[in-house]
Amino acid sequence: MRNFGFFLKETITGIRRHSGGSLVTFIQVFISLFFLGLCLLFIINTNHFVDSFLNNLEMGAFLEEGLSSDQAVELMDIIENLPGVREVTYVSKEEAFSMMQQYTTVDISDLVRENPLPASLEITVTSPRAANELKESIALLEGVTDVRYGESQLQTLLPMFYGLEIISFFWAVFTAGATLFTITNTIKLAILSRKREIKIMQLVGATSWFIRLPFLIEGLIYGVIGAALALGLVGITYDLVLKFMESRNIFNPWLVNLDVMIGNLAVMLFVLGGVIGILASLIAVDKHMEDDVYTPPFLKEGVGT
Amino acid sequence: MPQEPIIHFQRVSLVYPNLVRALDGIELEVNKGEFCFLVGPTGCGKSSLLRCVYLAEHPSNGRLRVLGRDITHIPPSRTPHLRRKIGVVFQDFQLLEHRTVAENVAFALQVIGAPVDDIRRKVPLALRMVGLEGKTDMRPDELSGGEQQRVAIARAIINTPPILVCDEPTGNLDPDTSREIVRLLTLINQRGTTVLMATHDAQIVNTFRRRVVYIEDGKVLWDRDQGEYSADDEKLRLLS
Repeated sequence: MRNFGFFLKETITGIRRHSGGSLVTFIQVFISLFFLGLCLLFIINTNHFVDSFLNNLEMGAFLEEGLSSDQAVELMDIIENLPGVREVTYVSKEEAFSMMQQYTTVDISDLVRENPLPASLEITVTSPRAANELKESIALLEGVTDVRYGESQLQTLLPMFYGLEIISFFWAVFTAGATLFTITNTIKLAILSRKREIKIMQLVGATSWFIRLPFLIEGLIYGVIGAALALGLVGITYDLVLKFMESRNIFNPWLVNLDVMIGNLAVMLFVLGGVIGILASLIAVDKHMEDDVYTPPFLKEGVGT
Repeated sequence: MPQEPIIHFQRVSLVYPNLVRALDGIELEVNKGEFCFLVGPTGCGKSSLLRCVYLAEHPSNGRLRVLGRDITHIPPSRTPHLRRKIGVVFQDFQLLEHRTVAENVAFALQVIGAPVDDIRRKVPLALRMVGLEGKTDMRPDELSGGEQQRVAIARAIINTPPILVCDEPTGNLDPDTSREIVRLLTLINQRGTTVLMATHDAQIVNTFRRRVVYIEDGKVLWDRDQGEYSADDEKLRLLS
């Protein structure tokens, strides 16, 4: 515990003593994490969009004309027990007609003499990958005339969604890597000015973890404060985007709302900021610990031995 | 039973990565409580020998025992604890400019996790020992060269190490201050600390008349108790 007090004092003194360099480090960490935050914003929205689309994929099984309600219930039971089915809802001829009416302002009852739409079962599937197999199984059932789920559109969209997810993943990895690189270099510069301290610590017998810890705490502070600032700016940016879309009546059912987004981003940015800060310090300080203890100037110059 | 030397070089060689052979089969025994000058021309291997003692280098060949332990291939994880028993003083003082005299000295104890009470008790004692009790709150740049070296010595001895290694500690000082510093080192030696000091300064060596080990080309050429040393020794060697 007494050591922790020393570490904390050393860390804060170090940051204050090199206030100019520390400020530059804070700004660089903040900017790096801001770009990482924007990347996460895109990823979270992309995942939400893909999940919402795929999790709501519905399949329609059209029923034979004149199928009794008992037979329909029996079919529902069978389909509900098939693998890959989340939910089955019965849509009667009348319900189908009124749903169709909702899509147009023209009174379609004036256009047709009697309701041409069949009763159907609306099936929500758990995974779009299994949709085709499921379709074939349902089509074989007695009382089912046809099964549709917009397979041609799905076949076009699925690779696009998966591609989007892969791109998002690599973008995140790249941005996190770039952030780590930036913070490492910034902290390296901060540590460079304290190289003598590290050497003296080694010389008087400080253990390597005792030497590292104040720098790791410093990295953690840079990471966490940078993350807090980045979170604030990303949040403001996202709020502006949402307000802009709202003011222009741009329909955005796939965008995650601000509160949920801030919650998700806060966890990610603080964890990433903290971990990257610590990791960057570890890399930077270890670089300076490589040349063990003090090397006299004349040895560095290779003049004497 | 004869006492084991506190430092024992047994045919120790040291070759740097750039293939410079700094030490070439060094044979040297330093007993507990001894004060020993290492002399020789620039580049002869004095500093490399000292670096082996304070574990900044590991011998390429031979065997090195310090404080009764074979440190020839000591793993890095073990070095910090052994270094706490070896004080080191350099020519360029190696003080932290932004810390006061007391903070510089206390730093050596803080970074090994010493209790605060211990630090409060030991720092004034060490500063009194080196004659700087009135300058605890001054910063290194407010001190003379001799005073800065005294701070470095206080830092080196605060953990009461059995061995004190000094690498040209008077190299940046005028003759009078140099004598004061070496007098201080002899005082520390009288309290039981073994002192190993590399120097060029023949006047210092001849004033204090301690054991002198002459090194050239990485080898011990001669080793004399209460010996004398002259720059002519080097010239004679060169001529021969």
